Amino acid sequence: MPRYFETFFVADPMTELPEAEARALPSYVVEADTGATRRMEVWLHGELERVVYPDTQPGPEVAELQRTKDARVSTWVTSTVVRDADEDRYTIWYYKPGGELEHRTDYVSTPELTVSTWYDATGKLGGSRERHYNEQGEQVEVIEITPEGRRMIVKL
Amino acid sequence: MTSIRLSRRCVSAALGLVDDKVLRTLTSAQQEDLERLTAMIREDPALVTRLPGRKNVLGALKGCKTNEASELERRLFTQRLTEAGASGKNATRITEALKAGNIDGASANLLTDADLARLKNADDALAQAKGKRDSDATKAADLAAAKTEMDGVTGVSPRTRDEMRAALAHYHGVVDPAFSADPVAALRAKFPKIPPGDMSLLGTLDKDALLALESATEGDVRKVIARLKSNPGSDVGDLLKSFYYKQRKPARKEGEVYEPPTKVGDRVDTALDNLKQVRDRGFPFGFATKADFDKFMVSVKSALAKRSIPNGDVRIHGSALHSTTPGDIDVAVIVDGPTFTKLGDRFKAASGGGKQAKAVVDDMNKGKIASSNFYGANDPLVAHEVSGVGTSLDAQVSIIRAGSEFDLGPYLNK
Repeated sequence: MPRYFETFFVADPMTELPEAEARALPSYVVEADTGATRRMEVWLHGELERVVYPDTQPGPEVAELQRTKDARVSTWVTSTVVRDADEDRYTIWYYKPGGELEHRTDYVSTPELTVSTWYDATGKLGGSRERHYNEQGEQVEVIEITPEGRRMIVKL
Repeated sequence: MTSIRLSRRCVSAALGLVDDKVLRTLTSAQQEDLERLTAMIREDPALVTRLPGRKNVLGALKGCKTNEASELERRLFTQRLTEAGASGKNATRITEALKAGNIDGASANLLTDADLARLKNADDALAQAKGKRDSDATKAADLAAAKTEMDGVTGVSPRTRDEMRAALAHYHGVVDPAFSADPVAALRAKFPKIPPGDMSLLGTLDKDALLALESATEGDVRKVIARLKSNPGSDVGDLLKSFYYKQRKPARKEGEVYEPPTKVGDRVDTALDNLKQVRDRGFPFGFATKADFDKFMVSVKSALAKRSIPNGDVRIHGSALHSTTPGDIDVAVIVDGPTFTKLGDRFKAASGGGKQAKAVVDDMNKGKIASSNFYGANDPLVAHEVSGVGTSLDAQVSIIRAGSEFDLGPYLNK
């Protein structure tokens, strides 16, 4: 029996739901395959929005799925999460439908701060972003940093 | 040696003014404590009249970091609050609020024990109101409860009581509840010389616009009324609302005191003149030419389209429309309620993390999704991609639900 979740999270615990309850939501996640390459389908407003291959790396098996079974949707490959005290580190590779790499983003996340650094398909640094959170977990500041080092505060 | 002898003489003279009962509580004081008290009495001789009856003067004195009488009085006041049943948090907040509101220690000293209990209750009610959205009905009840408590304060003059209520409310990041309950009535009472017919014009403004007038002078109010007569559209109200929101935003953070907008009359005048200039020439401040602005708008619409975000109603608002030196270019992508919800659902589904999903949900509840929360396609941010196109300023891009509090003009459409 496939498992259903409310939202896909890379490093945070996901809320598992009964199938009927999940399907009644605007979006939900179903763990469609649990084999060698796990597949998580993200459904949005009744349509398959994205497929996520969690806890893995880009490779031939994933590429094959991206070209065939999942060729019509965008896909994510998410790495395993490396945990050190309250810090999580992981990477997401973002792909267009058909399997062309759009970009890759490395995340370093603590309860107060998430820093994401993204690189284009050729590996060139695109920029980074700091998200600051208060004790209640509310996002209080976002700063975008260009490759040249210019800092831009995003109004929230 | 001379200075020490002089200091001792000063200490002796100053302490001679202190009530005997108070002096008896200072028998274990160190020389430095007495010198500190002396310095305070020399700064504010009337302090000696306010010390009798106060408990633990020595303890408060020992806690002082400065030689200012006001610090000793704040410490004594905090002690009294605690004795009256206030928690440590209550006492700190109330003391800090009165300090921020420039309420002197002498006034606070006049409060009775029953007044202190009322102050504590008002503080509790305001603490509950802090952070709640205006649309939350319980916020109005909290504010009304705070006002009722403060109305019962009898130890100080009505004017000082009102100042204390406003100071406490501002410390909690909200407008004085006596003003927010009925701003027009409050302004009528404050400025009886303004003709009732003119005052009734203010009644055409939204409540949030009126809240910008909390600290307005009579001159400010007259200027706003004059502009309402010559600009019957929504511009005056929108500008006032933007002044209020701008002041309110930092006060949502813990420890930030709300400061009502000032010089509102002059600011409305200037802003409307600048707005006319923008509308006449067809492009906002921050751009050298209309061609530069057109280039910017093309890039915004293209960046939105790339991310499958509707770009049919993209507008400029904010300071670039009414300030000759704007800090940034504010872009509003206006969508209807169902579209807004669908976009929010999409961003949440692509957030990838618990905190990020919460940020999207918080934005959806506000009615405004910041470009940093356009998940799924947020590298780079839309704002980052279009910043610097046709302008040297940064751009801020937000999706706004039509009719929400953030659907705030004046606007320039393209």
